[in-house]
Amino acid sequence: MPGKLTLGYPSARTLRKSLPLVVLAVVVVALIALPLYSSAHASAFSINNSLQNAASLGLLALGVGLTMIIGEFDLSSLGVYAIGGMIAVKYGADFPVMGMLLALALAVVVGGVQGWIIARTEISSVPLTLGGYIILLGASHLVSNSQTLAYANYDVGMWLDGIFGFVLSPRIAIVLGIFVLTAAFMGWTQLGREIRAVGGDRRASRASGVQVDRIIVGIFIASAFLSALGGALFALSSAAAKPDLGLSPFIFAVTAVLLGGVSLAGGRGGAMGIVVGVVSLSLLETLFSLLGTPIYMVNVIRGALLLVVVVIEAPDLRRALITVRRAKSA
Amino acid sequence: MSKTAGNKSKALRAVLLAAVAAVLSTTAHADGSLAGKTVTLVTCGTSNPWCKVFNDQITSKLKDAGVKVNVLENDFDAVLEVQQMNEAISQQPDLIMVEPADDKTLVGSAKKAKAAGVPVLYMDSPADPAIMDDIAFQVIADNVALGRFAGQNIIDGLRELGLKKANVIVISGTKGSTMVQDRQRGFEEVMATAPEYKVIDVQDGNWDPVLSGNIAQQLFAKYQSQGGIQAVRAEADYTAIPVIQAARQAGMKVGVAEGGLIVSGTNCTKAGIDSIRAGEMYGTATEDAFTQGEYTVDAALKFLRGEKVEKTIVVPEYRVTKATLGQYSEVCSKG
Repeated sequence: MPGKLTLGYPSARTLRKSLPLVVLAVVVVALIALPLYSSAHASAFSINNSLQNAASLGLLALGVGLTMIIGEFDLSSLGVYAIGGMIAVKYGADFPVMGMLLALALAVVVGGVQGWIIARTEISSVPLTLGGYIILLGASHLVSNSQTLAYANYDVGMWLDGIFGFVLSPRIAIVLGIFVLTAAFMGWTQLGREIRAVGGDRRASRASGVQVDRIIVGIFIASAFLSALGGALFALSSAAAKPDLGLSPFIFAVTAVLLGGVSLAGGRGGAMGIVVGVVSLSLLETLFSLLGTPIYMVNVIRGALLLVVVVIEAPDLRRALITVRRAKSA
Repeated sequence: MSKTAGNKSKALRAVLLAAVAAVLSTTAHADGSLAGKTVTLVTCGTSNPWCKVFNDQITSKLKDAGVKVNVLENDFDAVLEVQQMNEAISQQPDLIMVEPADDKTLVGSAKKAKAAGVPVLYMDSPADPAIMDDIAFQVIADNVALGRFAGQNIIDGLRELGLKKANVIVISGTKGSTMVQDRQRGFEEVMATAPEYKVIDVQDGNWDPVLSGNIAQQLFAKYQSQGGIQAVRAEADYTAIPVIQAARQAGMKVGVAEGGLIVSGTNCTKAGIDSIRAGEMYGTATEDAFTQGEYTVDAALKFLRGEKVEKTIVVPEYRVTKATLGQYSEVCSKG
């Protein structure tokens, strides 16, 4: 019996573990083979553009992903992303770093307050951060007077997006660097292991002396910080900020995180998985854009992919697979 | 023997084929067929009535010439437009045609397109001086003239009412675009000649009919106790009509005949022409979507055929009032 169980278990896990890399490989092959089945081809610029988009949403995905790893869900990160960009543009006209620091300071406060409430009251993070999202969106409209603000200092954005090494840019490098640092931190430090433990079994980690509350507050601060930084970099690079960016950045981020092997139940996944998810998804969108696919079709594909990922992630599926295997072997 | 005959017939066939090909290619040239050329149109969404006519005019004429057109739409959304410009550059078309949501925001995009070797046709609003060397060419409206016409409409209307002083408001298009700023400049220039009429408020209606109507409603209420509002300059006919509706809802009289509110539009449409005919809207001006689209697409086709195109093409504009209605009602009614 136990033998059969372990037989069924790894293959579901293998499927899940290999999914991000499989998707990445399929998309890369499809991009390279573009001229074989269409009149389009992937240029260095289109790959660079795809990575720019990945950089725009990568930090948001990392923020959401970190909260998911500890078994929480930070909806407010989308609001922080929007207002972070708005503050960076509005107050960074003369000194870009000033605007950026202001945005990050606000994020630390927002993340700290939300994390503290969640840790103290053990309230569910979904309704709480939904409230946070709505408040931040309102604040973003207030700051911008409900208008799209242009950033006249467009040299900053052009520097951030300046291409080097064929497909890279300073912004891509910054975002990638943050991913690498986060992965190193999560993998090689005691705290990193504790963070994952909190997501796996909170009560057990608390019993074994892990400072669970501090970790929750810290992760929410990190989530808000990363989202604000991502929003600010995005706004500076597009030389404009909009008070409400809609839901699509968040849908992208969550799909990428799930695709990258982070579990909705918590305790699993890491920064490297998330970055693979973000890049695969971004390249996939570039593929459809190069093929001239209408936006509504791209939305259908996005939705379908999210569905596939969630189904593969589903704990029930694992159980169902095991049952099927058992039935077969019986 | 049979071999040489075979060779001969082969040679003959080759010559014939070449002749046919030559004839075909010359006829293709004569037709100006642009098969194989691609254009990416980054433009405002068809939910905007002006943009719908403008986009249709451009895409249908391009397609008729055999050009493959990719359309990326946004509702004057500067952030989305920057992403769409990146997407457009990635597609490596023969020409990107862009209707700007914000002229400052597009500076980076135009420079990127230049670096990637993709020519850009800037439409409607004059490009920022910083990118004049980066874009291929621009087809723009004479926006200062359009602003002046609106000023003349308002002054003439108020004088017809015999008003010695009046409060005027402006509900503009998206302020971040140079065309809106140019129009306002032309408008203020003319309004300065009639200092008895004061421009007391300028609000950004983002080329949005619903938003423009809402703003009018709020401003009518706001200034009720401060002498009221006697005239409104709306940035387009399709935003002027909601302003008139808002005035009616507020219980105001509209038009010279009723001795009420003077409203001027621009970017004339059929609804605007009907409103002037009914005596509600005082006047408007061209920059109708049909003509603007026609000038733009003709220039684009010339460019794609490799003909020389001027760097800046300014579409001439005309003032439309009850007196000149007959002359412009047809072209305006296409939108």
